[in-house]
Amino acid sequence: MFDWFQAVPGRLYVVGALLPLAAFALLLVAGAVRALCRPFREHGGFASRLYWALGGDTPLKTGAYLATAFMAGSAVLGIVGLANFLADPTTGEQHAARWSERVDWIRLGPLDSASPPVWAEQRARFTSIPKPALALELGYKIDHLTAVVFTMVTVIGTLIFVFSLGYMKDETQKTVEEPLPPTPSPKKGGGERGEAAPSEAASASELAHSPPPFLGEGVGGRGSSRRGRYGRFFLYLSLFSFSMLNLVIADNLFQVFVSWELVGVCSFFLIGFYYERPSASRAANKAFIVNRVGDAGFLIGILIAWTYLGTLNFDEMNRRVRSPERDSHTRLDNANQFVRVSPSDEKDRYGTPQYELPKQGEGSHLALFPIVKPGHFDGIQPGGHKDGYASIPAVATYTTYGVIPYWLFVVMGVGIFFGCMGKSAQVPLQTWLPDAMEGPTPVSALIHAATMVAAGVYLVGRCFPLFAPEVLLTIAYIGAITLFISATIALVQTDIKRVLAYSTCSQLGFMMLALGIGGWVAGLLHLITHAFFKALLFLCSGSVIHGCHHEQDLRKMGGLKAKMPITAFTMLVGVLAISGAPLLSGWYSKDMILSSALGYVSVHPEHVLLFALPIVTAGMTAYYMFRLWFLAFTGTPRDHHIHDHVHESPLVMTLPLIVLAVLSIGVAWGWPVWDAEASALGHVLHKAEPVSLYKAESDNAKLDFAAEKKAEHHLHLYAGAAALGMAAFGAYMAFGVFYQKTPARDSLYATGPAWYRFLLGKWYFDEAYDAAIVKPTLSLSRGAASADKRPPEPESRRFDWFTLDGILNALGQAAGVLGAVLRGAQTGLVRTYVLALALTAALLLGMLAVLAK
Amino acid sequence: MNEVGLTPFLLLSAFLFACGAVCVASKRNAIGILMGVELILNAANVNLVAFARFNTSFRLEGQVFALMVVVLAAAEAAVALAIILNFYNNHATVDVDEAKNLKG
Repeated sequence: MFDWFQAVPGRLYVVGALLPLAAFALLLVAGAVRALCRPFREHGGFASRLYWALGGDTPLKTGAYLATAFMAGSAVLGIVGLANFLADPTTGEQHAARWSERVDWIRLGPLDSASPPVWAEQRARFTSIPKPALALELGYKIDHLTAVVFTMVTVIGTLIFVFSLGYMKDETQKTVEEPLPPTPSPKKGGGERGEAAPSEAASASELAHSPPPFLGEGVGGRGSSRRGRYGRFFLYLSLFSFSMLNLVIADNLFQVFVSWELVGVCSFFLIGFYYERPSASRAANKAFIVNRVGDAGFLIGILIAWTYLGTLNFDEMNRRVRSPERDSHTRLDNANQFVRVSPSDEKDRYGTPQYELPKQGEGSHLALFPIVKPGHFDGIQPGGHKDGYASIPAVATYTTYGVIPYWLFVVMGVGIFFGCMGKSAQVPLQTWLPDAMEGPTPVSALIHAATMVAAGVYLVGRCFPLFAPEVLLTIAYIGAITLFISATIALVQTDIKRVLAYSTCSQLGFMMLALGIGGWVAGLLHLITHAFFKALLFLCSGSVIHGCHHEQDLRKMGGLKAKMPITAFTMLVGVLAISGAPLLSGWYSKDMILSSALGYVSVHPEHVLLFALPIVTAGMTAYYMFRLWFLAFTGTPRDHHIHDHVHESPLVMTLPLIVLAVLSIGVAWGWPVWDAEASALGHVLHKAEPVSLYKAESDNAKLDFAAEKKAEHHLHLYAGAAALGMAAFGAYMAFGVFYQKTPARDSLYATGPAWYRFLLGKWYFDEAYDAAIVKPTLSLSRGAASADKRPPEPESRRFDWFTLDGILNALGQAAGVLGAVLRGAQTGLVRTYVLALALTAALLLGMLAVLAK
Repeated sequence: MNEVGLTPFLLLSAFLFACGAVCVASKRNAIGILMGVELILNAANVNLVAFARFNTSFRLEGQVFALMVVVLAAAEAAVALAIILNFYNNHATVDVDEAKNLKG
């Protein structure tokens, strides 16, 4: 066993990813067996005994412990794998053999083929180009990014599992009472337990929190009771973790897509965990549907990549679009630039169009290069000349390898990014994330920190070498817009989880911005550090909600610090980290992002917004996070009934908080600690950075980030100081408004000025979508439905009554008439039957005799 | 002695078959119908044996088939008689025109 891992240590990751799946399968089978045995529970015998052994009517806790243990095992494997990976001295082929494997999953076609399907013409001419094969692969590839993210996901996942053991205690009971929704209308507050805001704040709360009223009436009006769903919760969590881990270790886009959809469906299950509540099921639907919109774009990107590049493997795709080049060891590097070519005037002797490097400007097509792999393209010399891959000839024809229209290449990048926008909740697809707060709080932590929203950023980082400069600029601007809009909304929210939800959107915007401007390490470092402190913040808010008996409204809290000291202190750590307080993890990554932005802007002054928006938002981040903390933990209690019953959470919940607080402080430390550029984690991630970023002497200045990097280094101190100043200013503002005195009523309720109500209305994105998309769709379907209605009176002949219904009814009636006619043939007399038989036989024989002539 | 050809056998067979078919189609008595069926089967037997005799590519196939049909006819008669007896027990008649309880 040990030797096996020693030989191919990458398999650690496969085992680590499969452990949660095993837990999922075990829980699923156990649950199914129990459900099947349930009818026999009173009857005695084997089935009955099995039923009671599997927990009977009350949910069994063993499954949850099992899932947690499996997840912990996965975390151990992740840590061991990371240590192994960092200590691995091998390079090149040997390294690849140890840390990546590929197997065919589905293959139709020859084994040794990777030529894109669009090369049909070339294939007809050069028989050495193999036929295209439809080969969907499964594989894993571990690099520094994967190793770090895997460890992050498993560690945070384990802590969230442990936290859930305590938080979901209610679900272990035989029956769980669903509280009576206070208002039967679907317009009600997004409370964790379905509790709406009290009447005094109803207007504000409804404006802020009510989901759009377009999905019909809820089942509100009566409470209900149901069986606890402890096991089911952990079942979903396990599947969720497996999906994310599989996504992280995947080495090709298709596997990512499969996991992507699994993540999506798991989020649907978990957001709608309390599906009896109309708001929860609506939020689940919304998350799922909005993600489908993004996935449509993603699928378009995948299909373009498949059609033109002929492979979905990340490395191979990169090699296709980047010009090959020798490094100093004469090994091939998947490096340089996108080579754009334009159609040449001359055609070759077969009449196929040729492409050449444009004399000036940029070509309309992108050259594709062969995948360098033994066995491929044996008959053809890459580059069209004999001496290998040393350089790109000044004038060459690229039809040998194929071209892709440049606009299609941009569409591919934008398509892939569109999927990431859906998953990572970027404007304009961000609306699902705040509604996803309907799920239990540990789920919010898992979605917001470790799994779902991280997937989008991770994929952008993975596909980075495939993005054209135009796509990167789009990513940067989308990120900048998102981080600003979400932060402004978070300024005024009063639901503790919604503040955090918008803060997540905003921080994801930071990551996207960083990736878009070439700050690859900065963006992904922020992904990791943010995962830790956002998980911490969410679990703290879960602890608060648990302690306050499922009250989420900040306006009813206050002064909780004395009653929940551990939660208050750990949450303060999280708040400091997200605000970018020096020496905490958030400081390193945010500093890096802002100095990247400043470096980029100093080279491209026309994109000044890309620095202005994040620096302002850094101040807003500190403001809204401290506002949250002050409102919840300091000052005088605003609702004494709640305050009297508050209690600190049990150890099983506070322990993960403490561990996460420690990690939030120290996860990005390096030596020296006070040097913001010396983050050890950053250095690890730096090793996985796509090499294309630093080709200083390339011709394509648009994609060359060397100048920005240089400027970034020089300007680092200014960016850091500015960020720190803004954050301190924001924190001070929050201190002034919310700490020293009881906050003014205007600052908490929707009686403020118009801009305040605008922010509280979340920039009216939901209303805009409602009016632009949902309403027209619904009215269209209502129109279609009304055509289908049976007429109340026969004389009011509707369209459908005589077309579709009419045709079907006519068919049915025809069958009846035919039956009535044929019925007369059955006389019940043997003689007539024999006669008919004889006559028919005579007729047939006669026909045969005539026809056979 | 003149060689008798195939044709008289086929004519005999056709005559027997026609008798049987008419018997089945016209009788109301179940026993009579059964007898008609036997005639039809034996018409077939005559055919089988005759073809086997006059076609040199056959050896004993026709005779074996004929024996088979005889055995089957015996079995069929047993089953049919049993049915008829039951029918008689229920209806006190063997008139097949009375047997139309299943008529739609």
